[in-house]
Parts: sequence; structure tokens; C-alpha cells
Amino acid sequence: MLAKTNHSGVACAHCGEPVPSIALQGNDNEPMFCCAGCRSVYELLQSHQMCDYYTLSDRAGVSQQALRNTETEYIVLDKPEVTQKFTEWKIGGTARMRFQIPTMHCSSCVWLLDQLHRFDPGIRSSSVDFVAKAVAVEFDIEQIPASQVAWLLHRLGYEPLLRVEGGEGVRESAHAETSRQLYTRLGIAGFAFANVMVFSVSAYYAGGMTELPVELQQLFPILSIVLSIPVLLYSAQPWFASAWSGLRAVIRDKAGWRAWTLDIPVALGMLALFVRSVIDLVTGTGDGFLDSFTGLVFFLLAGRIILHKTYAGISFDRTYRSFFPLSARKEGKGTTEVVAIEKIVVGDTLVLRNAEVVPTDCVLLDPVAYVDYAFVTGESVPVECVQGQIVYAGGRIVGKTARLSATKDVSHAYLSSLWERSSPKQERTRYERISDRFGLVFTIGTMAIATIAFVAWLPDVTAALTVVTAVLIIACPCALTIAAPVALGAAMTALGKRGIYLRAPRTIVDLLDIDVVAFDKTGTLTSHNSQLDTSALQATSEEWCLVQALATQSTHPVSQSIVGNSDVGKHSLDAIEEFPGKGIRGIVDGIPVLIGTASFVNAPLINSEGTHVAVDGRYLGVLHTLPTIHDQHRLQQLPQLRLLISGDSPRDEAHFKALFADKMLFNQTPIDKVNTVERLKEAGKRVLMVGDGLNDASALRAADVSVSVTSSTSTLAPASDVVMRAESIGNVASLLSYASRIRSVIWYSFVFSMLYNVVGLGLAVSGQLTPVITAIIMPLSSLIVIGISVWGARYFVRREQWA
Amino acid sequence: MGVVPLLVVCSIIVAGGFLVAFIYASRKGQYDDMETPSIRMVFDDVTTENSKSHSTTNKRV
Repeated sequence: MLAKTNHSGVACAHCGEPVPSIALQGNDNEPMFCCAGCRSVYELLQSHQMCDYYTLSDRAGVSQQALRNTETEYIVLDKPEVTQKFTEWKIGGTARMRFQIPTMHCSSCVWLLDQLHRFDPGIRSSSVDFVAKAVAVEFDIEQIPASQVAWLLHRLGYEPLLRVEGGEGVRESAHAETSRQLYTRLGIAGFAFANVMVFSVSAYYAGGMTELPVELQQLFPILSIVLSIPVLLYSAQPWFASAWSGLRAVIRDKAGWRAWTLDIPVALGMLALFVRSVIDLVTGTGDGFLDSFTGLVFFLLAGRIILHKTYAGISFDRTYRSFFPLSARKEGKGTTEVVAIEKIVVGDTLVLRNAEVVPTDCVLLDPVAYVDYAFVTGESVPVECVQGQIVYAGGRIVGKTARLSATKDVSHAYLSSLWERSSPKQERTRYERISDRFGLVFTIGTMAIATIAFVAWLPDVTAALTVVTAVLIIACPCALTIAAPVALGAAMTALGKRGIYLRAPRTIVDLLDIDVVAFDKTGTLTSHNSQLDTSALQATSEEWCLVQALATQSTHPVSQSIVGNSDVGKHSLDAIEEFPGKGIRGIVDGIPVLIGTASFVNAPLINSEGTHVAVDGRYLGVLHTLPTIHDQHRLQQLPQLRLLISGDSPRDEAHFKALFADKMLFNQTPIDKVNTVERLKEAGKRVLMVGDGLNDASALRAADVSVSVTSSTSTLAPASDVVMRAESIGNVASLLSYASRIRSVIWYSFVFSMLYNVVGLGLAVSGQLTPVITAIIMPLSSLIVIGISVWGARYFVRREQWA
Repeated sequence: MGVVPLLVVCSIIVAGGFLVAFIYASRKGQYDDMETPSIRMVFDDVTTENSKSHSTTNKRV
């Protein structure tokens, strides 16, 4: 078999990824796997008769190729101070812990994770929260330690996400509490609305309260008022609280008109509705507007619950902190012990293995080690360190295990400062500023009209007061408060279905009027593992195996691409020598193998590019690495200025010419990136930054809007406004044009609700606003606005092109 | 018509009972997670018998 067929055309029985041909062993009837990780998950499931997992949904398994942690990583969970961070409650020997499982994605996941008790008798029960991507496990702490629960999840292919600051518990329960409260408020408002409406409708039929039979004339007003009081005091409380704090900021704290919110006119309208109704009913001068009042609160609450649910579905509040190690192995006298990183002090000897992050500045004790500072500097080629040299926190050990001596205590603040340059995001976003300024203009307008109407009706004070309250009632901008959030929420949900996750609904507004789109290169535009082009290589699979075995000895990116994810197996390696900038040679299973530049390998064409390979003195051919740009075609359609900011050297500059012309910056440190973004912002441009990870984290924060891409669901995204998949980065173009569509949708709803206000105000100032008319037009306008918003958001998302 | 006020009060009390039940349910977390149970309910039929007789064959890509 030739090595150039990279994939055998067989799907892995666990994850469905293509099985590399090199891994094809065994006969046809046995299931095949793409990697050892997938095989072990499959065998674990099989031994517990849980293979239904694979029949419940098509692509249940998640590829195990990228898993990092090992069993010892989890031991730290058994330390009381760490355990307590993740524990929801503990009674006697039973504890309940909540684990975040970012890779949870389908019904099979729910099925499996709900039945963890079948894997270990110590586990009492487990229950999945699919939306929050979390599983709560109740287990007997005597029978199975917390670390083993985490390790079981890991072995099942669901690596739990453990963060330094602990579980999601606190935030989750606060969220659940708000949601429960909203439901209670909604229940009470709905109850009052339905009953008050029954009283009102019978009054409307009879021709007014005063036309009803005498006993009902007394009963209905009293019941209406009694039912409305809890709506005013409890259900409508969020609006009153918000309006009150806004008013207080304006008046007492001298925050100026900037603190004015749209909730103030809403609260004013509600209050006017209630007070006017009570006066009408008590004095018997009218039928009151309590049906409109309770209905209004009910609709507003329903809108708020929809928003709350949209928000809950997208919990990607994962910060760069997720990359921090939770623990490290400390070497004592003849023993190694896993300790929480807070416990590391100066002088401790740490043992770090491949892909582990250095938790604090250290001195290298081993003769040599390779450290990848991509998180810090953005350069993806590992740096060679020799004995006695300082290895800085944030570096990642590549290849061989390294022993280090800590020279600083671990400080979270310091670790964070590596990536985070303090640039506090403005608290109020564009959207809030726009809507609140609108709220101010709106209130002033309403007040002006009310005053004019009052003066116009003046000799008759009662009539004048009636008109003023009518103006306040009809001018309550409830349709306006609903329009934008509902449109944005609907847009956010529609985008979520297409694999684009927004931090908050209002992010859409931030995506408007972008002038510059800045891209990071490696990992964002191109994939981290460059594709290996083996078409110019003539090798048998045995020879290819030898080449791979030698490549495992090098940390060079090309070598790593050669090894890929395949299981190389055991080979005897001898006389390995690596020549920086040239290549590596060695004797594998007794056969000499050379990988390197043309001259190093003695290729026939001495000056040709690429990585050349020779086995047993015979020249086999050349390998090329290709940076593959995702979705170049669609990115070219971006009307905004495109800019490339890369931490890498300009080695494949030519490749990006077509997309960026001369707008390319190379060798940029994270700080350079931030400065570039800030310079653009100072020049009055609105910048959208598209990046992948840690080395961009501060640039992402500095930009007006940030999009971070992830190559798989298990990779963590830093805090940013939008998260999407790296392969479909072209969606950035669609996203930006969709945002402007949404703006017009909101604009339509605004125009409509202004029309409603004009008509309503006309009725109000002429003294013709009756309870019946209010009861009809107020809910109607809200429903129409919701209709426009939801329909618009869904219609336009279908008109865009998504990948 | 004298019975109408009595009926109105009775109906409000009955409806109030449902309101209390609703509030109780939402306080107990009945509406916290509306997504997972809808996935969970489809499993019961499959789990019992297929587990033992299941054999996996690789799908062609």
C-alpha cells in the first residue's frame, strides 16, 4: 500500500472520522478506529453493554485525537480545597458534583451520561443539563473518589472542563433563580390578566360597569383591583426597579441624562394605567384599564422569559483561564505528587509532560527541553531551552517530559496579566446607548404632549387630568421595548442553529458599521496542523512507518504533521541526530532514515523546496506542507478593509496576497496586535477582530467586536463576542450583512410602533381613549411588533449564505 | 343572577389553586431545564433488548 493514500475510506466505529490507512490492521468484520482513544471508549462501552450509544444518533462519538489530560490530572480533585469548588452539596458520604462537558452534543450523549451509574456502583445517579452542557453526578465518596468520576467521564470520551476558579455552580444557580422568579411573576400576571379580562369583557358587553347588575357592579371593580395589586407590586417589579435606579442615578448621583433608560417611560405608563384605573373604578367614573395593565405586564414578562432562555442556551463564558493547568506534578524525595497550582512555592521541582502548560516562571533542570510559547508570543515554532535557562509561565512543553524548578510562586493575577492587558470593555454597549437615548427623547416628547394637552383642556381640570393619564398610558413604549430585544433574540437563535454563537443578543448591533476586519493567521485563516501533501512521495507503508517513527523524535511542525495522529508503534531508534534548520537522521529498526532539506537528504534536485525523505540510502521524494485557507472565496467578498495580523514569520506571505493585497503584518507580538487594533480605533475605525486563541485574547478584547474561531467543539474559545467554527470562517461575511438586515427589521418595528403612538396619542389628546380601545390596540401593537421582529429575523437569515 | 357573584368567587378560588400549583412547580425547578427531558423520553424503548445483540459494522465514508 502506498503512503500517499492518507485515508482508507473506512469510518471510525466510534467517531466516524476516516480511519488512516496506516492504522488498518485486523480483518474486515472487526470495527476500525481512527485512534487508540476511540478504541478504548468503544471497548469500555462494549464491556458494559452500552453500545446502544451508537444507534441513538448518527454521529455520537467525538474524536479522541485531541484529548490532553491524563488520569493523574484529575487526582487534584480529591484535595478538599479543590473538591469543594466543584461540589454542589455533600450530605454524609454522598456528594453531588457538577461537571462542564463541552463536547456534549446529541441525544446519545444524554443517554450515556444519564446512566453513569451503570459503570460504577459508587455512582448513585447522574443527570444531564443539555442546554448548559453539564452533568450533575451524585456519588458515594467512600466508594469512588471525585477524581475517578472525572476520569470515568474522560474515558467515555467526555473530557470534563475543570477551571481554576471552580465549577459553574454559583452562576448556574443564580441564573436558575432568576428564571424561576420570572415564571412566578408570569404566572401571577397571567392569572390576573385572564380573570380581570373576564370582568372587563362582561362590562364592555353590558355597556360599562354601571350597566351591570348591582351586585356585580360592586364585586367586579373590587376583584379587579385586588387581582391587579400583586401584578403591580410583584410582577412588574423589574421595570419599576430598573426605572427607579435609573432615576436615582440621574437625580441623586448626578450621572446626567446618560443614565436615563427606556424603562422609565414604561414604568411611568404602567403606574398611570394603574392609578387612573383605580380612581375610575372607585369613583365609578369609568371602567378602568386594569385588563390592559395586567395584559401589558404579562406580555412584557413573556418577552423577557424568551430572552432569558435564548441567553441560557449559549453559555460560552469560557475564558482563557480554561487553558490554565489546575494542577502540576511536584517531585519530592523519591515520589511525585500532584498538587493544586496554588500550592506551588519557590524551589519546588515540577515535572511537566508533553502539552502541559508551565504554571509559573521556572529554571530548567534537564539538559534540554522544547517550549511552545504560542500562547504568549504567537509564534508556533517551539523554542529550544537548555539547562539553567528560564522557562516562562504560559509556555507549553513539547515532546519530552521536562523537570523544572519554580522560581516564583504561582499567582493567578500574574498568569492572567500575561494575556490580558487591562482594557475594561465599556459597560454599556452601543445598543443600550442608542435605545436609552431614544428613551430620553421619547419621554421628553411624551411629557411635552401631555403638558400641552393639559393646558389645552385646562378650565376643566378633571378632563385635563384624564387626558394626561391617557397620553401617558398610550405613549408607554412597550412595543419599542419589545421590538429590539425580540428581533435580536430571534436573530441570535437563528444564528445559533447555523453554528454561530453570540455572547448576547445585542452583539448584533455591535456588528454594524464595521470598517476593518482584522484576521489572525495560524489557526484562524489556516488550520493549526498544516496539510501534508504526500503526492510526490513514493513509499511503501513499511517505509512510511519508519519515517513516522523518526519524526516522533522531532518537535518541528513538519515532523509533527508527518506523525499526525497515527499510532506509530514500537520501533528501535538509534543514533538520532537533529540538525536545526536542516533535518533529522537516525537508524530505525536497523535502517537509516533521513528527513530534511534537499541538500541534507542529497536529493537529485539540490535546491528544491519542501521536506525530503530518504530511507536506506534510497531517495523517496518530497513532502510539502500547505497552509489551507478556509473559505477564501467568501472572505474576498467582504466589503470592509481586510487586514492580516500574524504572529508568524512572513514565510508564506505570497499565499495570502490574493486576500489581503499588501495589508499584512507579520511577526506581531500580542502587544503589537493590541496596538494595531487601538491605532485603527483612534483613527475612528470600527474594528472587528477574528482570532483563535490565547495569543489574540488581548487584541480580541481591544477590538470593537471580536469573533473567535474554534476548530472543534472540544477546543475552548477565549472570551469574545462571537464564536464560530474555523472551517466556516467565511460566515463572517454573511454575519456582517445579516446584522445590517436586522437593523432594518428593528427599524420597521420602530416605524410601526411610532405610527401606533401617533394614532393613539391623537385619540388620547382628543379625550377619546376608552378602555375598550386601549384593551384592543395595546396588545395588538405589541403582537404586531413581535411578529415583524421574529419574522424578519428568520426571513433574512434564510436569504444569507451560510456554510 | 344572585348566584353569579358566588360562582365568580368559586372560580377564582379554583383557578387560584392552579396558580399555587404552578408557582410551586416553578419554585421546585420544574421549568429549569425544558430541553433535556424531551431528549430523554425517547430512550426507554431502545435500551433493554438491543444492548446484547448489538454489533457494529463500520460505515463507508
